[in-house]
Amino acid sequence: MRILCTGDLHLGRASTKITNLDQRTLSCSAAWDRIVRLALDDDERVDVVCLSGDLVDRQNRLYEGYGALRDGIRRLAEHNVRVFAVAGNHDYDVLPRIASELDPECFKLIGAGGEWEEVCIYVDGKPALRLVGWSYPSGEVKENPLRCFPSLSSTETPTIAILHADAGTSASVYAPVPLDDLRAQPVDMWLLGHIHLSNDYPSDNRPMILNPGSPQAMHPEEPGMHGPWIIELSNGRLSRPIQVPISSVTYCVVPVDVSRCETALECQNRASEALEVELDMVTGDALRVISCRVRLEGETDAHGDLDGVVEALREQPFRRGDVQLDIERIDIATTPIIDLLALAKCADAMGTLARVLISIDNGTVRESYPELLESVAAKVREVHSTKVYMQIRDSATGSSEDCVPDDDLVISLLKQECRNLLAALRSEEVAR
Amino acid sequence: MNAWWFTRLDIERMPGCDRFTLDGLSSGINIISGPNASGKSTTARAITGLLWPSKAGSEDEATASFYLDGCECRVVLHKRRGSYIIGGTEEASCPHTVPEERMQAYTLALPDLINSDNAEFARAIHQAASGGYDLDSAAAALQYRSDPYKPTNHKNELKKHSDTVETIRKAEGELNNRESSLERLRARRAQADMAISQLKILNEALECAARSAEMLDAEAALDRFDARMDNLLPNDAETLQRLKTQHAELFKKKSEAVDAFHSARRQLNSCALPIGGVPGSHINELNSHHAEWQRLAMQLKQEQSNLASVEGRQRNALQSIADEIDESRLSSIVDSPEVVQELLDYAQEATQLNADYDAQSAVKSWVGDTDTSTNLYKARDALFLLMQWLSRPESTTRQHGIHWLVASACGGAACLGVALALLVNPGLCVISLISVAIMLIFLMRRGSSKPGERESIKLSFTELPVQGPKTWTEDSVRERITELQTLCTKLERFTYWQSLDPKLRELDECKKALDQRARDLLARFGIAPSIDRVDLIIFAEAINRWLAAGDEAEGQRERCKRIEQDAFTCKNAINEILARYNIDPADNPAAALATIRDLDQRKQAFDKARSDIRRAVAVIGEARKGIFRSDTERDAFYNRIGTVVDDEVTVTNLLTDLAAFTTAKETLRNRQAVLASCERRLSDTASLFSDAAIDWYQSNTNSASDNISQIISLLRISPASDIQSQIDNLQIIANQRSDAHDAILKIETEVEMERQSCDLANAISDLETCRDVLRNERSKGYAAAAGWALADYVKREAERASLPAVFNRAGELFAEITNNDYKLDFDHRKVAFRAVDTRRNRSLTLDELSSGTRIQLLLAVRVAFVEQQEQGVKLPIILDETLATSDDDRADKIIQAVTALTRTGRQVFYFTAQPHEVEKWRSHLSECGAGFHCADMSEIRQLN
Repeated sequence: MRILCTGDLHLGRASTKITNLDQRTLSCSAAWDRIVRLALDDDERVDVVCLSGDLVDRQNRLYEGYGALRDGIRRLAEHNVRVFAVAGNHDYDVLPRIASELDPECFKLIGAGGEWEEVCIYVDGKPALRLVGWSYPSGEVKENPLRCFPSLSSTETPTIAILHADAGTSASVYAPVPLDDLRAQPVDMWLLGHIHLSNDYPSDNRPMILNPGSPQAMHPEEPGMHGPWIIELSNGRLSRPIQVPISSVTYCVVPVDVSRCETALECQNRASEALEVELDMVTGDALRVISCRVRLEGETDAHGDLDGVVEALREQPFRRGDVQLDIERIDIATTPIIDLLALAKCADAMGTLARVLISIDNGTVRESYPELLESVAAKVREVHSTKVYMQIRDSATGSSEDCVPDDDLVISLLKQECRNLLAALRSEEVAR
Repeated sequence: MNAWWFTRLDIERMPGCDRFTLDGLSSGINIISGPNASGKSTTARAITGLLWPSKAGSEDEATASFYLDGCECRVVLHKRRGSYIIGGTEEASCPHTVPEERMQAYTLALPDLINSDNAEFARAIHQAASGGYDLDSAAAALQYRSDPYKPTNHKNELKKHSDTVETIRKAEGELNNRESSLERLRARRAQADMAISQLKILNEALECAARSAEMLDAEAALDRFDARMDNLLPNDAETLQRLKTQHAELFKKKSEAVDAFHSARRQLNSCALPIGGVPGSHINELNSHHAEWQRLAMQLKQEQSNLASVEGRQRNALQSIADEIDESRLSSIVDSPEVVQELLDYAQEATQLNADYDAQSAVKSWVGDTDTSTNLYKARDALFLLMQWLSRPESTTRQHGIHWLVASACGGAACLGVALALLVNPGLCVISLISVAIMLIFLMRRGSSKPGERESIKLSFTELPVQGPKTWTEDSVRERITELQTLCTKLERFTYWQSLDPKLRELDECKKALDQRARDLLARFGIAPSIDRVDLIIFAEAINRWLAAGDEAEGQRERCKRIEQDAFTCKNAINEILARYNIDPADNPAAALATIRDLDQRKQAFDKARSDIRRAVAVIGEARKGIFRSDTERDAFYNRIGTVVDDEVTVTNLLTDLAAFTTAKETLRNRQAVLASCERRLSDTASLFSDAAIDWYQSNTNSASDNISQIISLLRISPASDIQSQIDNLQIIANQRSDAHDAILKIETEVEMERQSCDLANAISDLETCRDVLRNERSKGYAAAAGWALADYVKREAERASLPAVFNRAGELFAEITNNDYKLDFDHRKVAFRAVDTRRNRSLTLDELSSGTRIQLLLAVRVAFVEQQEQGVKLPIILDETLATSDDDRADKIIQAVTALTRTGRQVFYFTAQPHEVEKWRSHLSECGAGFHCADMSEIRQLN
């Protein structure tokens, strides 16, 4: 028996921060369609599909996400592939509707209403696989669902538990579940959802813990491979899961060390080489875009000239066959070649900047420069609260990146501007 | 504080310059002059490179000697690395700690300041006091800003996409509301469906009620007929008629059969035959006997004719035997065996004699004419010698041919002898024996002959009375041998003919004896057959013909006798049969035939009459049975109808109403079928829509029963009026189905279209893209705001940290430079420098100072700041054409200030391309007695 495991489909959404590409290619619905085709493919044909929640995105749950999910399940059902799912915080109200519309033999919502439920899959009249699952009863669950985990009857049948939860934490509004609690349960495998980055938690003993991640990368904060996982069940044992890359987008952070680059052109060439390397590492037939967040790092004399590098890199085409490389952002995290420790001894502006940078690197900036930090935070938050940005505040978007800038963001801004100011003063000095 | 004092500079390798040396440098002021491109800038760069090797050019190479802390030191610059020897000890690190970032602070370019306006000067002083950095410019260059950055470009775009999303969401919300009304609509449709189902059931029930009423009417109509009508069958009228007709026909048939019986009986009697009639075999036997009799009569006639013919031939044969002999005598001879034997012996002997004569005649013709002049034996010897001659070995090949020739000749002779012995006379076999003997002798001689014997043989041959060969060659000899062989053969035949001569004489004797016997026979029996062969044959044939004719005539007579006996037997058989029927016997076949025919005719008439009687009896019996059956059927017919037998009137009356009765009955049956069909449909419909039926039942009976059979039974008996009123009510509900269904379909279609759409996903994506752009702008705003706060902080911090120390030291230096004419003050309220003219005791703002005083102040502040950074070692200061475009007063003040600086122990390098500046320096320094060194680069580098 072959089992396809995935979750966090977020149907109704699409990959963000990609330019110049058809939305259909970037949509999560297209990824779901590819998953269905994979499940029905002669070479990868699976018998069971397990979905770990957040199948439909809350923002688009009423129809578009709903329709895509239902159509996919129907296609699977037409080929006798059974689908089992739990509901997540995005689709706790959608999946019960779909379940009521479809034949229970085709689609089974496990643990509806926040009650653990057991389902057994029979092959030739004998139990082959036991599924245990729990579904979100509402959009937020602060309790650990494992507290009411049922005492499972002892059986030789392999058991997969499916749960949409904030794994690895004990405080969250999305069903917090510490990893130790997961490992303590008498199951063979945990199939988790909620965290979009896939993670096959290493474990020597049972249970295996698999967070399949979202099959379609949707945000630059979700780098790495995305795709469903295939598990083989033979002789009563579950194999290690194997991931099949299926996302049309891969986000990645490309750190480019431009140390010892004396000119902006050298920095640009080094960045180009790093991006070409990323293109060389293309995997998966479905991949169409590599969205890169380039980060220029290191000490360089060309620090002050890197704006030109940014422009040049953006204009430079990167492509391998059907795959294009999209530069989402270029962060200049370089520093001019400065002996910070020596400079810090000076009482002037550069000395001040050097000391601030050293304290940031040492993690003592909060204690050493509270006034500066407060002043920077106040100015940054003033920008955040400006009316013009009202539409991208977290209250409007619900995105964490739109929250009021916290101290970490403030410190990172401070660090960056310290470098910039240092470089500017240095340039000024050189000009003199 | 120790001072770094270069005493010698060796420029080893600098871009654009060959090596040169500046030696004897002063610890005070060093005036480096020379025209442009003479090496001043190279020297300045070498000085900074030697102080901060990492900031030197990669190709720069220079060496310098300097004093530090009273020690003579040396520094070597090579590939951006500095090697230091301090007090004879090599040091890895640079002896001063001024960071390279501060390097520019030791290079003073005053012309810009001199040319600046007052505001800029104040800022420059302030900047210099802070370390010489223009934080405001840097902040401006980095686009730092105090007020939040407010982009406007993307606002409308974002709002547009946001509105799009909201519009779609609103539409989805409205659709969702409509979708939520689906339940109500579906409930209404389900109610309508229920009503429609119930309508179907009730319509069926209504139909049942109508059909039930019709059936009751038909039943009533049927009840009005005579009860016996039910006993009638549809074809009873025909049955009645058939019975009547059948009865009459049977009686008629019986009557006709009785008449036929009597007629046949009369015919039978008229045949005058026995009761048993004439068996068919009798007639056949009669005809058979008569045919045989007729055939025998014909045959007898033919045989008698044949007998007459044979007897004629017998008479003719007798006459040909002997004219005198009569038949009786001949018969007696023939009948006597001894006589016949004697005649036969005579004939046999005569025949033998004739044969022997014939053989002799054949041999004579075979022998032919033979030349008897040559003796047979001599010929044979000659032949033998010739063969011997040939057999001698004159020539092997030829002998071989001769051998074969001789062998062939002997073989041929032997065969000829055998043939003659078989055909002519056994004695001729002697030819064969001789030939074989010759061949043996030849073979024996051939084996013993010798090659030289031919001549002796030839001589022997010539002694014989036989002609030899023409020549004694082998061919001639062979030819002669052939001739001799032919001759020998003929001689041998002739010899044989001669040996037959006694036998010829014996034959002649026999002929005479036979002639005598012929004469005896003639005398004794009148028959004397000639011994001539022809006569003898004719005689024998005549005897034979006569005997044969006699035998044939006898046989013919025997046959005639047998035929007559057979004919008699046939006649007797015929007459015996005829006698059984009292018929007179027939004498001849014709009479018998007439009698037989008459009998046969009577027999046939008898048989026919008897057959007619049998048939008439059968018909009578059959008619009687038919009449019985007909009566029985008639009785059953009337009994079934329920009337008296033969009450034809009643039956006829009933039959008159039968059609109407049948129609009424059919109508009832049809209506019953229709009702049953309706009830079945009702049952099926109610079963099919059992929910509707149960709902109807429960709502109309206040019963909770869901027994569908019970419900169907109730529906069957429900009054039509009740049903009709219920139908009217349900129809109202059912009519609403279409509207509900259409509304459901519309909403479901919209929902499905929306589910297949991706408008919202695209709109959200567009909105997200727009938000990303705005986020980028916000990030820039964050950076600008953070940078502004940082710059502000750094500025304040720099002022706070460095201003007091710099201010104090700058005040000291300013006073020293101006010979205490001025002292420096700081306006804490306005955070600005001020100068106090001690001579006038007046506080002046910086813009109130003269340009020379400004430069003095600027130098004081800058040096003060430099000193504050140095923390140990005073490094040389480089001034670049500071006096340029200065008036004398200002130049004096600058020189005064620089000279004052050197008093603090700091080495100063002054670079200028103006010779008059050098003179100014020389003049002033000579006056004040300060140490200085002038270096003309043109001279040093020997430039023309």
